[in-house]
Amino acid sequence: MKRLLPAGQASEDQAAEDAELVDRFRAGDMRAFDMLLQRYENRVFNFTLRMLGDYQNSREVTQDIFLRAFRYLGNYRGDGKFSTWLFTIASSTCKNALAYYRIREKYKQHTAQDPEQTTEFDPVAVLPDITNAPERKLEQNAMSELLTQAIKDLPETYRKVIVLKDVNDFSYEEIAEIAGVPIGTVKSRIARARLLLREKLTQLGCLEPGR
Amino acid sequence: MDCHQAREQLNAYLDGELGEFETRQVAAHVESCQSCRHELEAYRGTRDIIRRFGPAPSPPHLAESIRIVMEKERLIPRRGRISSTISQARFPRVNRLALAATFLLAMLAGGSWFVYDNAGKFLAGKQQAKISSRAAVAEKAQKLTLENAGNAAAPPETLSMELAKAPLSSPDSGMDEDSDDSSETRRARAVSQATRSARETMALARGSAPRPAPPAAPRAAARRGFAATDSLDILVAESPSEGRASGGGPGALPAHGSGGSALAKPFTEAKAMLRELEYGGAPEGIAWNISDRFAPSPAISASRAMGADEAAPGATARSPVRMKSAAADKGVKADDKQTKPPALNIILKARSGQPHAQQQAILKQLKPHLDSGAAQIQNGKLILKMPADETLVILRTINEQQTGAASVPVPEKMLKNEIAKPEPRIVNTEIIFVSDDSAPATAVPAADSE
Repeated sequence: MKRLLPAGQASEDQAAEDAELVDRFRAGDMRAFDMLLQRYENRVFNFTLRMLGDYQNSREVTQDIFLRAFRYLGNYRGDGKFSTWLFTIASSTCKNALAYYRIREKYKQHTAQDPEQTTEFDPVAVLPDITNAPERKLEQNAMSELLTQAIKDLPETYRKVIVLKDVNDFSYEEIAEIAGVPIGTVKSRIARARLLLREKLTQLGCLEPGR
Repeated sequence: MDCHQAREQLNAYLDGELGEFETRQVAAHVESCQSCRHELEAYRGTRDIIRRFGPAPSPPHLAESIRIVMEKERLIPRRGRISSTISQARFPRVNRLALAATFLLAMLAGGSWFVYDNAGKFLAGKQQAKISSRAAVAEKAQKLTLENAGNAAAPPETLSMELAKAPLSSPDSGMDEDSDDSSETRRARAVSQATRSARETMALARGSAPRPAPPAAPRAAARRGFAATDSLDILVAESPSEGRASGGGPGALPAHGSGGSALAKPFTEAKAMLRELEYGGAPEGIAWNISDRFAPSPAISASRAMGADEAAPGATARSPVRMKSAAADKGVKADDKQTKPPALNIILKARSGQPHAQQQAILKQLKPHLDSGAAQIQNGKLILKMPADETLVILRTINEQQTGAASVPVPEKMLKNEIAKPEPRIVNTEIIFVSDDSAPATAVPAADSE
């Protein structure tokens, strides 16, 4: 498992390396984007996984995020950090994806209520079962499953900030930039998200009551 | 700091997002307040759970799948071709384009050469077939002419030289593909063929021995300049009176046989020698029909006969290609006078403001007759050898084709008288085109009847 960058190490050095890679990519070096991809692949995937709560969808959305990043990297002005810019794209992409999946879920529920529609071909039903796949081993962990469910149940605004903080280890200032909200809002949302998450985990039996 | 203020800052304190002063204040409060300390531990526990179980390993080959999608959408070049910095540095985009353009040009050039080469071979074969058939017809016509003259023992040079005459302006050029035979032309050709067939039948009834046709394909090859044979034999025949002495003159050919000259040289050398002979005072009218464009690789055997009678037998056997010599022609004419067949000779002068255009128009009109050998172009003259009725039709047709100042006089009365005879003679018509406007137009010149 790739280790996420520890807290505080998204430092100026890393930002400088990112900026250098971005410059090389703009100069036509495709390998620079490869390096950026390797550097942020896991972080972006974890963000989408916790935001969407679905492994397969997260994989597709992660691909979409990097495709968008590739397309729009020429417009990146370099004012802020590349990571912040990338996760801004990831945030908006996840937001769109959540809206899309929400609509699709409603449609599926609607069609499932129609008895004539139930016999029709369902591409989701024929997808391979990945529950025993190696990448699902961690999700088989009970705590991970419960955490995923708990985070998924959070409102999107709280979910975003708590994932960016505790999963992706961004600072409040960076989260404020990504979410496009003041830093005080970030602070309060994080506090509220942790409170809600603690309640949820307590309900799920992950935490002892009173802790 | 009270508990309410401290609890607002607990998460920021936990995450290390507070300033130094605030951090000290919160730390002091938490140290003294058990409830806030308990609250802080609860937040810490939640955060630790997220940090511990939150990050998941990314799917295997996620980056690879992203690259594949980008390649499919042509956002990045396919790997294995140009994906690394090194390969891009070695072959930048401009160089790759230049390389591709060079390759394309090379392919085009190769293809063009292939097409050109094969087209040349194809046309050579086509022309050989056409000229071969044309030569056969011409041979037949010549045979009939000689038979009509009642002279079966005509010297072979007459025939061979007539056949070897190169057109002043090749009727093949730009006209082989023309199939726009007018009704007049078709009628004239039909009359010509019918008359010829009848005369051929008469000749066969007389028992005249057919003369073997000279090989036509090598002649066509020489006329076209293609290397169709392993060797080309060139006969330069001169009359004894006008021919230069053996060994005399700047480019005289070496002596060969009894009174003849011959050489066996590479093509270029032979050609240079013949050119020297031509420019060095060769008899007027020699038309060297050698093209070095498709120069044949083998040597050329050129022979010069000092006398037409001497050169002919041997030359006929080994000379598939003959070069026209005006001097030899004169010699032949001298011989012809002794055995001249009964013929009507007409010389016409036609005025033309545009000789070339007129010539082209006439050539187009006379293409069937030129193909059959009944019409020839020699030294700027159009020579027709055919019955009077055909001659009349052709002259009328030619005259109809003329526009503007150009015109050809038609001696209709003379031709009609000849047609009316029980045994009409062959009419030898020689049409001379005069481009000078001051020349007498439409003058019907001397028409001598023999």
